[in-house]
Amino acid sequence: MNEWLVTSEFEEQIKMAFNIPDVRPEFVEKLGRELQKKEKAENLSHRRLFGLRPAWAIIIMVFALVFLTTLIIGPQQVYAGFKKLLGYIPGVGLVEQETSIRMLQEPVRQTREGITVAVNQAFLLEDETRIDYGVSGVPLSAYPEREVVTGCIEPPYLQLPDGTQMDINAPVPDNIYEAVFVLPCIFNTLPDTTPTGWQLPLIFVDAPEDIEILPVQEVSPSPGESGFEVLPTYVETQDAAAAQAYISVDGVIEIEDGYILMGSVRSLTPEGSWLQIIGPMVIRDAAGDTIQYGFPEDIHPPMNIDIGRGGYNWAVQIDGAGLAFPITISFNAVVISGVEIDEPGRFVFDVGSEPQPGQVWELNQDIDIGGYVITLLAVSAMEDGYSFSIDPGTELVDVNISIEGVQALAGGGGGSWGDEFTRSMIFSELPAGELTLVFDNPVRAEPLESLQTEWQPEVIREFETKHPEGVCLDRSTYPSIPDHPAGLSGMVVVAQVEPQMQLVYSMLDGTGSRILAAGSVHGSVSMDGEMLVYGKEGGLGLVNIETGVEETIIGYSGISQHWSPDGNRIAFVSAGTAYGIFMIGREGGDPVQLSNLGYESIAGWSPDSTRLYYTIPGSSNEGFELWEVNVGSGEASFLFVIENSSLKAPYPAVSPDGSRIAYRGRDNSSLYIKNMDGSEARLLLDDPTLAVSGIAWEREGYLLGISLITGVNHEGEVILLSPESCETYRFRGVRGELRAIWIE
Amino acid sequence: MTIIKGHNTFPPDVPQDTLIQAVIAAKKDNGLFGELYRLSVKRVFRYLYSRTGNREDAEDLTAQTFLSAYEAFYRLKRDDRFIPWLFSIARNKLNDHYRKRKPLSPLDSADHVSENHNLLTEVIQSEQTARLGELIRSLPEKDQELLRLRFLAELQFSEMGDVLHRREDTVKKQVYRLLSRIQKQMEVSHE
Repeated sequence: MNEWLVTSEFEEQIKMAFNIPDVRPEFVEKLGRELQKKEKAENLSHRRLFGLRPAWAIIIMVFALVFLTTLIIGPQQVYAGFKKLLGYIPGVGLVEQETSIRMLQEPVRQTREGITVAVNQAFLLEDETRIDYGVSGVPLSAYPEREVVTGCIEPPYLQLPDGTQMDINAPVPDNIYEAVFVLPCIFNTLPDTTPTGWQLPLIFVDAPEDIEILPVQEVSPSPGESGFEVLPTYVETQDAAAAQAYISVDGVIEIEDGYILMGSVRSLTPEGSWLQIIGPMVIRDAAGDTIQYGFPEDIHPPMNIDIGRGGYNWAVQIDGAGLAFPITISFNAVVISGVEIDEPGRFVFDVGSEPQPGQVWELNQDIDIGGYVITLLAVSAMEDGYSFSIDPGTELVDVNISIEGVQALAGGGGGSWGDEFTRSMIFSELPAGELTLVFDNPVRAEPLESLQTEWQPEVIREFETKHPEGVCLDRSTYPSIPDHPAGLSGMVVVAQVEPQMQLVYSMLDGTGSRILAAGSVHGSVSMDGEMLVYGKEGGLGLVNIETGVEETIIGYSGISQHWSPDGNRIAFVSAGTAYGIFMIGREGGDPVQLSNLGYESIAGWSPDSTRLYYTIPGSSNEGFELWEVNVGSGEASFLFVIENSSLKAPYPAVSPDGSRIAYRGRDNSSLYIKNMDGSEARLLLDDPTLAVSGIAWEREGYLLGISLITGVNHEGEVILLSPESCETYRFRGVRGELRAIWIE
Repeated sequence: MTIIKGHNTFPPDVPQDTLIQAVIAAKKDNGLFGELYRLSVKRVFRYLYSRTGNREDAEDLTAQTFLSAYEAFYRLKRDDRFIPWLFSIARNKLNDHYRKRKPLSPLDSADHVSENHNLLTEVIQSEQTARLGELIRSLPEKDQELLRLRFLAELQFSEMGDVLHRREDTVKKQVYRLLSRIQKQMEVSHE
């Protein structure tokens, strides 16, 4: 066949063969709003420059020139342009300091055909309007499948009492206290799929006179000038790094509980290379202890600063209680660049005719890749592939590895930056005999010393140490969790991704481990602990946990599967040709559709198996919404917002007795528990580790199983906790995202 | 299989002119960056999903890509190179992602396949498409990357050249040879 002759039909088939799901419209809209916020923040800084009185403008222009100059002459003279021009209102963001403010009297929401539009807050400033609105409950099916088709793009607007229509960000005349928020259509939805012509009446009131506008203070390089001090330690200690990058604190806001710091890492790397920041920012106090910090959602660091290739603007919030000043802010970074090589490195290696899973070959073989030497330390055989342990040497940090003539189905790896790392490859059949390993695409890194700077306020305020009531675990108490007592027995089911995606059953101490389902990480165990349901190609797999015998309900599949407590039905979320929650009988049969979105997360069933709970992203930033649906009538109703819930995936879990819901917090590392009457949530785990990865109630409903990602356990460490007494045990023999736990 | 003369320039969903106009407009008024975002977000997501195999990471990286692109937008020198520039950022973010987190890495077809199984098994794929998917997943990483950039990111050959640091001609030949090989293998397996 002529190589240039390829049909468009064939090209389309290839595209389809990748089977990529649609991007979630909620995500598209949210990120779009995020970008819009950035645009507004930048516009604000531009307006500041050109909207001020000439004298001020000149002063600022001088500052701007100074700033540009400092990029060339050195970081110790870098100034940010805050200069007390901006103020900060928590929840609103940066505003002009001298401004009158009106705000929304109360949130307004409207629900039509299951879709909710809400105006959550509005701030009317002298030179702009900020409206926080959201939409929830839009089914995936309402959006176009291909980007060549564009749904409705008519923007919302404000209609004033005299009929004037205006952009929602335009300043509203100062005598106006009522307006209608008009949303002609839900963004990007197709015709006749969602209600149109939304009109939400808004009432504005003057902001309370005592509304606090916190000053944004410039950080000056010389002590005492503005009340803050930057100690440019990189000048003394970071000579090597300073040539290519430096860090600075540019602005500070004193808030009630501590400080918001704004700054940047600026890269000066030459063309063809870029700064690579390794790991997160680390802040330590004067005692050398690591300080926890968060990211203020309503502040966007200044963007009109050249931060170079790989540079980074940042804004962080720290608690003031117990801080020993000065604090040190540091990043680890390298300057990386690809390495051109003429020939890849090769190594021929014989694994024998019948390599066995678990077999290890200690090789310590040096391999030359275009003049760079790496060491292949060892090769391990797995059930369906090999894992390669590599020491990249002193100059390289990464290489690609493949087996000549053998096509891998998947790959993976792990390790710390710049250290030894592993690369794994999975094959349809384990390659045997003489293998030619090919090493190419080397990446070189020039290590930099840690970039750091110090900061402290001139006047150190006193802060009260807060101990939220009801917290069972935090960073300080997590390490002291005892191992589970010998008398405690039971079983767990966890999801693992190494060495493959699989659902694994084991006893609480990790013994008796066996794979229940390979190739899937989504599954649910029946209340009696006898059956696992999981999504598989072509259907739902039902596995008898004791015998391992599997049957398949053909034709229906999905994620977020949940058994009903009576064991008769299975609910799951589908986002294929049909969208929403479906329920199917234990023996199969026709599925019943219970919702229509396609991105619901099932939280659990009521104890009598008549109602199903699920969460969806809400129309406000408070958190996901909890809904219930009567599985008999199909009637769905909104229950409440699970406040402070993760905006990514809250992993909601309703207790078996239906009285409580546990979920992952906004920071993805905390955990809340909330009564189903909607009363205030209780913080149970206060950021004890890197992240919460799974939540499952023990079947009696008194104990909560949680898996947490820690610095040493990337797949999740499992603990069992009593919310009542905070009694907690750790199961060291188990790793993975928790799917089910039960005590005998 | 019927063969007709194929395209030398794969038609992307969004015409190049539209993109260039959007770039020019956004350079004049950064408030219009949103239009560029709207025109390209699906392509970026599709590409990143194909590399990470799961929605959460793909969304995270898509967000990082556009936020970085927004911040660095004023440094985009050529108005007609927005897409390759954007995908270079996306690939850098992927590199960061793998280096920082070290979970399953690029191919991650197993991951990918699995979520597809979960999410999309209700899609009744033709036998041929399913076979094609299997074949693609068995290709070497560099070949898969060519297909991803071409068919998911919908890059022109010149744009692929920019991203991969290769000549346009070279990329074009590589893609068509690859397609030809795949097509041949499909025909063989069909027989």
